[in-house]
Amino acid sequence: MRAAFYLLKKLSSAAVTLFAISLLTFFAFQILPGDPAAIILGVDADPLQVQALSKQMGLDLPIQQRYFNWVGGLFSGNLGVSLRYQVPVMELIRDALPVTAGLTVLSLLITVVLVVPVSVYLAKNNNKKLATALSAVMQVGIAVPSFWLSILLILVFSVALRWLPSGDFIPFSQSFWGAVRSLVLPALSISIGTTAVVIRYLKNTLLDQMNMDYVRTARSKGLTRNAVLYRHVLKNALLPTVTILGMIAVEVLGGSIIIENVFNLPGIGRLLISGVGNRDFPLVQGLVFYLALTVVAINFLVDLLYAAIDPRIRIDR
Amino acid sequence: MEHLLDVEGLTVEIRIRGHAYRALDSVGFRLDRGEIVGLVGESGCGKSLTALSVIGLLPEAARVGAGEIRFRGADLVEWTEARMCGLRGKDISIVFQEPMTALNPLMPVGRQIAEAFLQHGGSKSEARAAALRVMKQVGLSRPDSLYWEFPHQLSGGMKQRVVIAMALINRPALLIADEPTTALDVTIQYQILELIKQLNRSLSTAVLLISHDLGVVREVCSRVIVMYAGFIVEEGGVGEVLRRPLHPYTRQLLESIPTPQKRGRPLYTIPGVVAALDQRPAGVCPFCDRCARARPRCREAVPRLTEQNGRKVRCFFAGGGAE
Amino acid sequence: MLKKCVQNKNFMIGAVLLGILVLILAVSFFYLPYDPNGMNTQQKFQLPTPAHPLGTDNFGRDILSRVMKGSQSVFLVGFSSVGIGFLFGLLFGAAAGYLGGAVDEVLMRITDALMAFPGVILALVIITVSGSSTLHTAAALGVTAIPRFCRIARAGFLQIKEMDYVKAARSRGASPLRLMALHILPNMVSPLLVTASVGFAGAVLSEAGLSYLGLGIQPPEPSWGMMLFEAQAYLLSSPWYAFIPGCLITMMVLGFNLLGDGLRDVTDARTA
Repeated sequence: MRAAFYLLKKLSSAAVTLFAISLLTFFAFQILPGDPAAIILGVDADPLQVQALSKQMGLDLPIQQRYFNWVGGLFSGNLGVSLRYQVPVMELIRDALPVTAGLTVLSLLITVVLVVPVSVYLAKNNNKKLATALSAVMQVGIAVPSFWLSILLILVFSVALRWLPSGDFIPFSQSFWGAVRSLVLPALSISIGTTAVVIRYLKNTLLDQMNMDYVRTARSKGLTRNAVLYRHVLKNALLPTVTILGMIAVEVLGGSIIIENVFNLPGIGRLLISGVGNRDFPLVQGLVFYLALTVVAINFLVDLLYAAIDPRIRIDR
Repeated sequence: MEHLLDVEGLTVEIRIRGHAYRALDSVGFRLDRGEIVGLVGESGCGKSLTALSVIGLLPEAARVGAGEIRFRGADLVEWTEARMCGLRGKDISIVFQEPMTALNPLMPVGRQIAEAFLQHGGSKSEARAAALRVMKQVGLSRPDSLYWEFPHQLSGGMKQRVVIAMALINRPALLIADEPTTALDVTIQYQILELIKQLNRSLSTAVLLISHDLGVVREVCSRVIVMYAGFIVEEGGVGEVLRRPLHPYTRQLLESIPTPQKRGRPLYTIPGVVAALDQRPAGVCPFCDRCARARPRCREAVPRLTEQNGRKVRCFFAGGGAE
Repeated sequence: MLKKCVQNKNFMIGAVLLGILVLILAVSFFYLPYDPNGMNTQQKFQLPTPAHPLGTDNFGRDILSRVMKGSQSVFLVGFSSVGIGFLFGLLFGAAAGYLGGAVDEVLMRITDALMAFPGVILALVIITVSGSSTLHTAAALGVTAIPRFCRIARAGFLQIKEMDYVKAARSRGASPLRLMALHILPNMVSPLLVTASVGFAGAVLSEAGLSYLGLGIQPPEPSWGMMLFEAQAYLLSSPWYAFIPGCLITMMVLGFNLLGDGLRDVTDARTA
């Protein structure tokens, strides 16, 4: 029962947040200086044409109506129509999604694989010189701008070593592994920063947990330090780490926006930037809402995961 | 005759900011099979440190400066960590004060008890049965369903029983109980103490019971050791010591316990507090600053622990009439 | 407390890094070796020489001068972004924490909604609508920074509101404003400072990203992010060009991160 209440609470919270997001997204685009139709058609446009476009865009309706129309559209999967491409936003997203999804998944994979071994090593050898050096490296990793890192990675891996392609992206439809190879450098650029953040967090959590009383109890049973670490401490430390996973996924999404532009990957990030550059309001509006929706969904999933793992939430007293 | 536990001249130092301070000074006592001995003193007197030294779980900053801890004749101070791991939970067990935080919140309690069994060579097939058996022994009801429950589902008293079960599943020769009831309600306190007494009888487990509460010690122990500021200041049979204390500290401690006879009078408290580790003067009696009967002699040297009719006391002016 | 800061390694390294950058900034107001926009195509892509300590770019412009001028916009964006976030975050957080109830709920929902937008997206929205410029970038990043400060302020106010000594002061008739100033604010200084420091780092990174995409500070104003973008095209022929702006951005972000970490270490140890 407690679990059910917890989830219900999180769900309603997510719903309210989504509502707030829809308001913010919609009205952000309404504080325009000027008429979007006029901006689109240019300064010298024929006023009649501007009016016609305005009507076509539905801009003559009262604002509440426009908002409700838009929200109504959301429920049926209609995120608007791109001005530039004259194609429903949803369709553009569908085409761009595999790339961004692949990039995100690969980045998260790299993070997940690296985090546990490195954090455990750092926690166990907290005072040794190698650990301090590693920590310093990670600090730099967090500070380095991802797009600069990409440039460096391209220099090293594509140009100097010729291990990985730096050319155009190979779509999944053409070759699965070709696509993955094209995504490795971009994923690395993003994940180096986020991995460093998670490693730091997990290491600190591990150190905190090692001071807990149950560790003392375990050792008094005769368990070695290593056994205590792997059988008791690690799980207790991974639990709060799951909560920042949601935050990390969001960071990765945000990072992909820039990185896709660096590597010219046909994903959602590049779509968004071109939309901003073209002042394609409907496209940007739809994309922004879509991304925010994704974030809320990810956070909700993380909450679900947390409830499933932590017996204190799952089971009542 | 070999004693079960024979501590001699144990000195433990703690490093604070580069300096080493003596937290335990020439502590020595013996325990025999099946005995229940109490170790009393205020916070800061070193009783927990003594317990941790015996089982080899001293904190990072502390180390044994001198002395021997002989368990069944072997000096544990010399042992490697690996050998100590084989000893902990099997020959010597310890339970601590805080049951609320003593268990891993993510593992079912039964599994945590079974872990102690498995750690010392028990087979997987027998582990659950052994756990259930010891859970019954410590008075936990419905062990079968309790086995799979998580710590947050249990009360403080139940958790402490779980901890005791964990400690006793391998039938250790010695159980060290560091303030096992301090964090519990009075009624539960009584139950846990009864449990300890009963287990001592049925399993012949020797118990070193650490407490700041003389009442608890009187209930359960046959012998009592009084500590102050890292030194042992008195030792003897529980009845004797409580009836006719030889050391001023013990006497003043008894004075400060409220009893019906003292009703109506202001309650005596020992003036001052136990000095912090880095503020203990060397070469003087550790208690002289707070002692009601201190004399110039007390500031000249540390008194030796002398033996009189089976009782030990560390005072230049031991004995003498009641105050 | 300053003494403890000086003893903390993180803090000092951060301070040194930032010190260098602040020095560059300070000097840039008075003296620039060359006109940052002065082109000299005959001297393209030069590696560091005494004449051009950091080399020249694809238009023959002196990189050192451009970097120095660029530092002005970086600091400007950083300060305004943190400033806006701090001011409004504190205001909203204080209102939410102290007043509680419906005000709290509404403000928290808005904050949650803001935090649901990954980093630069909010900035992108504002830029789509209002066009790109230094001012817009600063404002956009400022708005993005509000939620974090708001959270801290709110947590601080909530926590302290319930503490005994505040209740005691209240029962003696102290006015809310006085309470806030004397009791509540001093305790929040540390986490706020840490957030400000780390926030500055984030703002610098975001701004660099935006400029890199051509959506932040517009040319001919030199910006470090834009310089990186320009350098990328010449990566194979002159990799040196890309090196400097990246280094500087990293230095600045690292400096603020370490400063923030050091502050956090010091304040944690104190309250521990």
